[in-house]
Amino acid sequence: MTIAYPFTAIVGQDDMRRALTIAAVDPGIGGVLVMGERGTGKSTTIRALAALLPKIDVVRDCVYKCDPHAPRSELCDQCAKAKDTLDSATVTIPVVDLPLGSTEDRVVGALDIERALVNGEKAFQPGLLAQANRGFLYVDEVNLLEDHIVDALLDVAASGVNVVEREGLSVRHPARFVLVGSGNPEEGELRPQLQDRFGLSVDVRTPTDVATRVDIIRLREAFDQDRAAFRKKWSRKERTLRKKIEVARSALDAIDTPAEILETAASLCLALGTDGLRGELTLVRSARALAALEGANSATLAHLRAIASSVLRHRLRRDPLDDSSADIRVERVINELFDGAIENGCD
Amino acid sequence: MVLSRMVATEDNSFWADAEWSAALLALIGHPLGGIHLRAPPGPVRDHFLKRLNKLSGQPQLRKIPANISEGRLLGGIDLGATLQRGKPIAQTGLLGECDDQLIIAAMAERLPRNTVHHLCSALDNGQILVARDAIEAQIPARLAVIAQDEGTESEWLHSALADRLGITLYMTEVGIHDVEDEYFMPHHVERARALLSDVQLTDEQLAALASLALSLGVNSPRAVLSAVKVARGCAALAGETNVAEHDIGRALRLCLLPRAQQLPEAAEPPTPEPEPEEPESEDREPTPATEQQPLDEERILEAAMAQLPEGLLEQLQTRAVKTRQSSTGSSGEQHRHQNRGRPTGVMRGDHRRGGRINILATLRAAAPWQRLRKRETADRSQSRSLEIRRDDIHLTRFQQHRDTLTLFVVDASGSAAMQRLAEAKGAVELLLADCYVRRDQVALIAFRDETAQLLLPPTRSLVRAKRALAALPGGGATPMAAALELTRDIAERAAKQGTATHYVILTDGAANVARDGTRNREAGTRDALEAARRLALSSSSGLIIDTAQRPQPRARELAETLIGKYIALPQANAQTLNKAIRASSL
Repeated sequence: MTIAYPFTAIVGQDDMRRALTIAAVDPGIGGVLVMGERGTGKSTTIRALAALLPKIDVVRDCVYKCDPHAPRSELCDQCAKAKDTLDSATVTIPVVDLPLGSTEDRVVGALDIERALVNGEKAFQPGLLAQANRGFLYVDEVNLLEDHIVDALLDVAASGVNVVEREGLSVRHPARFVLVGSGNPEEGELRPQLQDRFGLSVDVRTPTDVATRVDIIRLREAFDQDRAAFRKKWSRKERTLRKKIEVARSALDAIDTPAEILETAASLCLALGTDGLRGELTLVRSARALAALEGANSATLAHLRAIASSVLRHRLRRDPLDDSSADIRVERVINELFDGAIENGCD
Repeated sequence: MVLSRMVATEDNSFWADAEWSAALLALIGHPLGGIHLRAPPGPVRDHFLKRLNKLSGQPQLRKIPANISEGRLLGGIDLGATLQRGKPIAQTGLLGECDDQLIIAAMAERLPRNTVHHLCSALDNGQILVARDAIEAQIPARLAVIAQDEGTESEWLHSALADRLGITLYMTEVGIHDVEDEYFMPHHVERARALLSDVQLTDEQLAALASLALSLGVNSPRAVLSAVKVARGCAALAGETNVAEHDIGRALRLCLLPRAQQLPEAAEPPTPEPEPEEPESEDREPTPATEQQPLDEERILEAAMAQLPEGLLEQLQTRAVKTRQSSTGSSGEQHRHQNRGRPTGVMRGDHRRGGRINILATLRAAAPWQRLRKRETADRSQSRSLEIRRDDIHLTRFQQHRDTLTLFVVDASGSAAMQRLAEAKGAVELLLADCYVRRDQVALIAFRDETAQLLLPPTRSLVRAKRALAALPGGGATPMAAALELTRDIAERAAKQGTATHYVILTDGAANVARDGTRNREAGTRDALEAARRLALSSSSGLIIDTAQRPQPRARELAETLIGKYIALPQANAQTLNKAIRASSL
């Protein structure tokens, strides 16, 4: 296993880091899409996140990592059928890579040939979606993913259940994961249906000032020269952030959501004409997650404002030819709305 | 030990660069990524590879052919062993086999997008992830890639891969007489390896490289990172622990200059002007210069550029544009062989009628029956480990949907008048939106004055298409023949990749530039018709939209020669143009 670059040693790219930490605090937000040019540290940052994820309770020896405290209806067939109380163990939240070139049978799972060949029995071999249950599923170059894999992902990401009907098998298992995708927009567009599945979306750019770039290069060069030592040097910062995420996860349910947050979220969506309720829900959830991260006990307009652009920028009804205006429109509406709210005494 | 002439640290000749590159890659290996070697096949390239082989101490350099299958590259199921032992046996792919080695990617400019991706992830992570054919594994693959790029003008190594290869070497302009002595021996590399970790750049040197990169328009931090490694490697190879100015210069030549998107003004050869002010004043602020070793970026840059091959500097800018364009130019390319394409599933079938057997599906189909079949055949005392019957055989199904390229050929000449041009642009934008919905590729040719230009190579990126269109200037003569010839070129290239081309020509048909560039209405028309006849012979289909205020027979004649549809749209606006094109069942 290679040593990953520490998350806290990433220079700049605040939007991307904030979005990823929020997704780590509240998996229900719906994942993060990171698009940007080459060499902006997209995949480095995402892989770095794995080291920060807290541990979770799972049912011992369950391939789907079922939650022993969850109601039985949300568990896999085997755990749901178990008679006595479930034995639990703790594991780190998994980050599963979905490599380009994966075959469909490895993604959704298929007949276990080994057992079929040796014992002549029909058994299901779980795929990547099963492994990613309760964790993260990362797709690098998500815009180049083959269409039939995207189709499989779309359905599962929406329902949280993977249904396999093939080779005489009929299996359903839970597959709730945080979808994280990255890619370079110059190489092709993302399918709109897939884009809608992401809760947050960020656009990363290369920093253009010399000081920041020197910082990036110095840190990366130090890392390349001695990875273990570099990791160790950053271990305190990593620990602090991991602790912060852990605390935020447990505090999440207790965060207050004042009515003005709900109202502002609704008027933001209305002003931008986004479809459906998902935008509003994600706005509120992300603001709460950010509040939890910052140790506040109530979500505020400042939290909402900080995450609004990431939540909304990929949800506008799209004119495929309009490349830059989405961000500008979102920014303008946000500014109007929030400055107005502050003037009206909601500060 | 002093290396004297052996390591000519300040020598900037072509072969010095090549020798240094070979030694640096042998020294640094995987962290450097590799070498983008743009060179025609021939003795110079062979000699360079031989040197690389010798310095790296590897028994031989493995090669990845451009047409390697994904299964072979990553690994997959080993059919023979699997059948024999009755359980799935994995086979390591080429990338896994080459862990800790240098490998050559042959015909790198033609590598399919997927292969590029796997190479990139091996370079990024030092390992590859395999999830196919019942196998799932992380396989170490700390390799360095020598990407042999034999591309012609229009073909370039995919920029995602080029970005990760630390050193770029161009050997297009040199012959065997440029090859000189050997500078390095394997023991130099060995000695440098012991030194390497002690060599560090000063903050000032780091800042100098970063700001030089910015002033050259090199955006990716990866290039600067490689430059840092190369500078350290150079010092180590020279037996030093301090990085000297000429080491920085070498790093600049090998890593940054070949990627330059722009030239600092001072660098233009005829006018040795001082460096542009902005980058200098900016960089000096964060890192105040230390007195003892003033680092002069301007001087380094000048020295590094001193002996670049003839004409290279002039080409920099045009090449930069081309490199950028190539980034998606080939990414739409897909396998379009009889039995290739997007596999959409499997079906039961008879392999004797052609088609590829899907081994896994076949095994799966056979697997559950094995016990039963064994029992059936037991009395006949046949003990085959696996009973496969004809019914079990599954074939891979491929979807043969062909890509379509919509090629817009826009007359931007003076006769097509400015307001017509605006309408044409509007129509093209609307059509682009259509192409987006169908996920077609689009490309754009504009012709005016002397030549026709491919403003936008085939792409799916609408953002780029729109940008190219917005930047389209108008005015000048009408080089129709040149435009038609370029159209044919693009259509043929697309056909080679299995893409069908529809072209839409927006013009008033008033050709007045002959093929040789002279302005002459008669010769221009004659050449245009000649080019049209040749275009008609290609497999593409087309549509001519007459944008003249008063439609003349000349555009119609052109359409007839092209065996294409003809639509006269004297009063059209963008909307009606779009409707007309759609109606012609494009």
